[in-house]
Amino acid sequence: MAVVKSRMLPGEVIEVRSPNATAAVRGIVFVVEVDPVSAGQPSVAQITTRAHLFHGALDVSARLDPARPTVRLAELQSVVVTGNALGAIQPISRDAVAALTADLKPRQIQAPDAPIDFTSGLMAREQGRAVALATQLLTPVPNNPVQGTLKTVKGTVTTVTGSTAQVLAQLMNGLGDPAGATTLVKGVGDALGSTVNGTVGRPVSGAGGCGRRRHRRPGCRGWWRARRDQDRLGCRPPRAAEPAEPPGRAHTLCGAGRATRGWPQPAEPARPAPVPGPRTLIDGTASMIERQSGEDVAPARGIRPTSPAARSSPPCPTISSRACGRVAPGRSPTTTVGSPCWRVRSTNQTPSCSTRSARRSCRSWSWLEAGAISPTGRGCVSLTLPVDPETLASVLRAACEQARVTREARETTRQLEELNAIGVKLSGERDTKLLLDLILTKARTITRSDAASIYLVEDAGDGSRRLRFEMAQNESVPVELNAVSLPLGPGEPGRSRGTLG
Amino acid sequence: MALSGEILHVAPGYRTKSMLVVPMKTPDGAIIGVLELINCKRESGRPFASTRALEAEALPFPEAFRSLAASLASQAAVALSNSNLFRELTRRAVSRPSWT
Repeated sequence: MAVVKSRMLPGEVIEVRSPNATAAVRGIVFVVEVDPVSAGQPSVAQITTRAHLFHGALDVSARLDPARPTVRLAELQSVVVTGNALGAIQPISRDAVAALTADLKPRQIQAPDAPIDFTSGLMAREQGRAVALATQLLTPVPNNPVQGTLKTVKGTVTTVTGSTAQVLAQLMNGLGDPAGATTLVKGVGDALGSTVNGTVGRPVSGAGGCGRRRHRRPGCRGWWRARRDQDRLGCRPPRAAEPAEPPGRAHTLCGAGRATRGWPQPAEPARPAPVPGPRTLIDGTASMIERQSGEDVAPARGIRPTSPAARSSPPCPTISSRACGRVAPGRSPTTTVGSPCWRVRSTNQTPSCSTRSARRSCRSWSWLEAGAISPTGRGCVSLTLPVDPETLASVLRAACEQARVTREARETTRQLEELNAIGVKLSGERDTKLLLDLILTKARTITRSDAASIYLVEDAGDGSRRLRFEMAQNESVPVELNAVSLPLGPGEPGRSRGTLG
Repeated sequence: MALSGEILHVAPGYRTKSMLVVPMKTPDGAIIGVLELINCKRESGRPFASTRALEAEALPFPEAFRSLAASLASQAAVALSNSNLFRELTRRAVSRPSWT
């Protein structure tokens, strides 16, 4: 009997019931033997059950007498149940275990080996088919006579071209040389690439693409990605002609100026060159666009305009890569608030636009002020040049909003942590004077206050209450405290507003 | 509660530009005092250099600081109540006759 443990649920047990005994198990190895009962003796009292435990724990009970206590077997013990009586627990030896399990093991099915005549014939037939297939794939080169010789191959290949013979000979020689497998495959690939016309488009090994058919076009995204991988691994073969990076392809805005993950951009048809015109000054940080747990910033779809009118409108701003520490030639450096920073501006703007007054006149600046700069600088966004102002504005607005929310969340977390720490400190202080000083100090710290005072309500003794000025702190100027108490009555501000008393 | 000028002797020219006052309320609802915070700054730990700087740089208290200060004041109220109870128990234990 075999049980799949993974199918068992918690609390489930397996019971093996003989006519007069029950063995309940879970995760153990045991053997239960029942002496066969002859047809002339159907009485249960004549049945004998032997339970042998090899591993784990096993409870054995007499089925016909539930009141009788069960017997708990330890490892390598056995018990005999005769009729309705549980026998004594007997230890079993290793030899007995081997004898008990000898006839319980499944027999291994031994498949006979195929006759050598059959295998050799099959091998010869398959090799012949492989050579015939390779011959069909390779077309003869007209001005290249047969020069190579094909080694011994079982089959009926008689006419091959020179290049084909070389390839096959090289292949056969390299089969027994695992160390030269890479060289062999590359050589075969080169030979095939130089010989085959049409059937195999490009050699796989040593190619510039990633191997996938849709990524083989030079200059496409997959082609560039495969090239980067090859450069990273140092396995890109030197190539004479490589397509230049198109100037209008997707431009990546990123904090560190490196190729990072950006929002996916579909391929875009060629667009007209930017026309000089009224430009908008937009200065912001790409690092403001935070990525939290791998999710894109909400208005990712707003990066690109979808309406035909928006597409046909002349793009306005241009992007200079200040983030990488480079300033485009002919453009004056401007003041940036944070680093790294991406500046989107026009050529007719002057550095004077970086002044406070110029920023007030430019609406775009307002989105990037108020300290909406991420200290991490991890975010990035991909835009396709040229970018129209509406698209850029929506992206920057979303980035600033997310930066603001992130900053507020961090600030709230910090305040809560401080508040917890203050509560722990306050609860541990017994001296009143030290406690008041601690309260004022912490209150000034978490609220950025310059001064703080504390007033306590006291009982005047005649039934009335007074507000006593207990302690004051001032960070800028020294203070001298006068012990003054103010009466709290119906005419006093505290009582009349209901905030005191 | 703008009584600080009457009670405190501070340097001349020091003005109160913004103020946040929160009650110190115990968990049973009793108000045992008032916490008063004056002149919010841009950065904690940097005092105003002069009266002119105070006039120019003092900020109104943000709305978020109201709940923050109220929470701190409540914790302070609990701590003060515990301190007063502890002091009262100590005083009674000392003044109790030895034969009781």
